Amino acid sequence: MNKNEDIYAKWLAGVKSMEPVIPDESKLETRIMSSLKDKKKEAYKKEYNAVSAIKMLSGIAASAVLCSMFIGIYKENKPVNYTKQNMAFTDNIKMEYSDKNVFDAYRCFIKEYANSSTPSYIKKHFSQHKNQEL
Amino acid sequence: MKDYSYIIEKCRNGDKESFRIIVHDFQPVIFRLAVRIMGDISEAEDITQETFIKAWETMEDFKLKSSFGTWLYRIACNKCFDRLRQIKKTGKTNEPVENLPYAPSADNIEEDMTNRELCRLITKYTDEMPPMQRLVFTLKDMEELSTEEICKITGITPLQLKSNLYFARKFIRNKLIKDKLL
Repeated sequence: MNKNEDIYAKWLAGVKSMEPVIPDESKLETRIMSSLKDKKKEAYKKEYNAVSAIKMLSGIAASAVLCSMFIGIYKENKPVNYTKQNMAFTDNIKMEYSDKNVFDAYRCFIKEYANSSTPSYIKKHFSQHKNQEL
Repeated sequence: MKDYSYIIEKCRNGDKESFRIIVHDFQPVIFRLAVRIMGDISEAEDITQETFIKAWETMEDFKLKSSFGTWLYRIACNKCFDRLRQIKKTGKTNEPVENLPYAPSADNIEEDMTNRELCRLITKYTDEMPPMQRLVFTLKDMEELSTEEICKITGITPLQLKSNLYFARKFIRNKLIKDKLL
């Protein structure tokens, strides 16, 4: 075993003594240097990208604000559609007719109520009295 | 030992000429390590190039208090380890290179020839080893680095290092016995 150890150590020493050398040092150096990226250019590129990203984001935000403004204005000016099904028309009736007179409001209420999905016995009742003047 | 802190600071600011000094000083060391681990000239050249590119790109991460050489060694070892694992996966083995670029080791031609033959054999043997064993064997027995340095470079514990080294040495011994060289 000791003999083997000696041979192994000698063998290892022989291998260690062999120093690999670069065949063409300057060629490898040139190859390495030419493959390096320009840090200043990269930094400028990054900065430029960041600025354009900020510009783009602010543009998107501005258009979003404008859109929401237009939607708000449109909603405010939208005409009230009383024929719509299942709508809470009582509130709208109040808005539309409360300052005119109570009879108009009631007439409208009956008209809308008859159009909505109300139980048949109520519809029947309204249809019986629809021609009667209040 | 040369103080590289000023050069590193300049490299961080994008000074390529300062980095050329680093490449000039360290490329023989990194190439030697890569040849010993990979056992192939073109692979070693690629690893050397990739190591310096990585060093250039991540220079900001280097802490000036630690050793620059060890940091470069670490990058090179990681590159070698990744490449070895890639080679193992694909099942590709290195062609036995008859004339690896070694400087003459002895004045005696016969001794030099023997050493060359031993180097060829070690490349052949280590080619069959698992990547980590190959890395640890090269760093400890060829490059003669300390346990602490190897643990820093490879990121393994001293216990893992010990066991990997034990199996690597055993593997080499068995191969030598099998080839009737021991």
